[in-house]
Amino acid sequence: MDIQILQILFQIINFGVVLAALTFLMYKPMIKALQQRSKKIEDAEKAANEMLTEKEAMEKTKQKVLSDAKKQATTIMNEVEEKAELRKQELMKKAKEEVKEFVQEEKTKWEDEKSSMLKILEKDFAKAVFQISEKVLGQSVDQKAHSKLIDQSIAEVIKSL
Amino acid sequence: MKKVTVSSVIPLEATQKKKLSEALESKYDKITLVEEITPELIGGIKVTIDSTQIDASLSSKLHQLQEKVSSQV
Repeated sequence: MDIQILQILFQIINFGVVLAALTFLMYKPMIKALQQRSKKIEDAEKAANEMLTEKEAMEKTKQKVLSDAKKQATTIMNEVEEKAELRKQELMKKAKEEVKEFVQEEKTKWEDEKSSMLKILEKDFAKAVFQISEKVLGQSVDQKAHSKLIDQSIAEVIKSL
Repeated sequence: MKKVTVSSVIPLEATQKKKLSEALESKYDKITLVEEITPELIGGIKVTIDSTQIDASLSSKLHQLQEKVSSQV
């Protein structure tokens, strides 16, 4: 069997033509498509990562806002409680003062009434004592005692002349 | 002559009248002593000369004492 150089050469050229055609028509578009797909996946991953980062940031912000809100609520509650306690103390103090004042007023009134009643009673008592004295003396003084009283009265009259 | 009224619970004895008359005459010259029985006086006498009264009765003393006590209450 003879080696046919022309045939080999033709086959080589034919193979080269097919290879070139495949390279330009198949390989390059496929590589390009694969590259585009890879790029799309990378972009999606990047977008996903960005979204994750954004989500984490939002979560942090949410936590911070919640924490701040809790702190603020606690502060407000404490302030309200303090104010309520102060108000309560003030009201208690005022009520105590009012009660004390009322008691003092009533006590003073009662003392005044007691004092005036006592004065009236003492005056009435003194009057009664003297009325009784007058009656008792009028009935019990005898002739001799009357005469003695007259003597004393005469001395008094003479002294006042 | 001045009229002097002497009020008392019982009539005055002669010596008492004399003593009183002498004392009054030493101040008012001649006087006429008029006696009056007033049981309300309780004891002692009350002498009235014109509008002047000298009340030395027990009733007057008791009333004075009562006034004093009442004013101090």
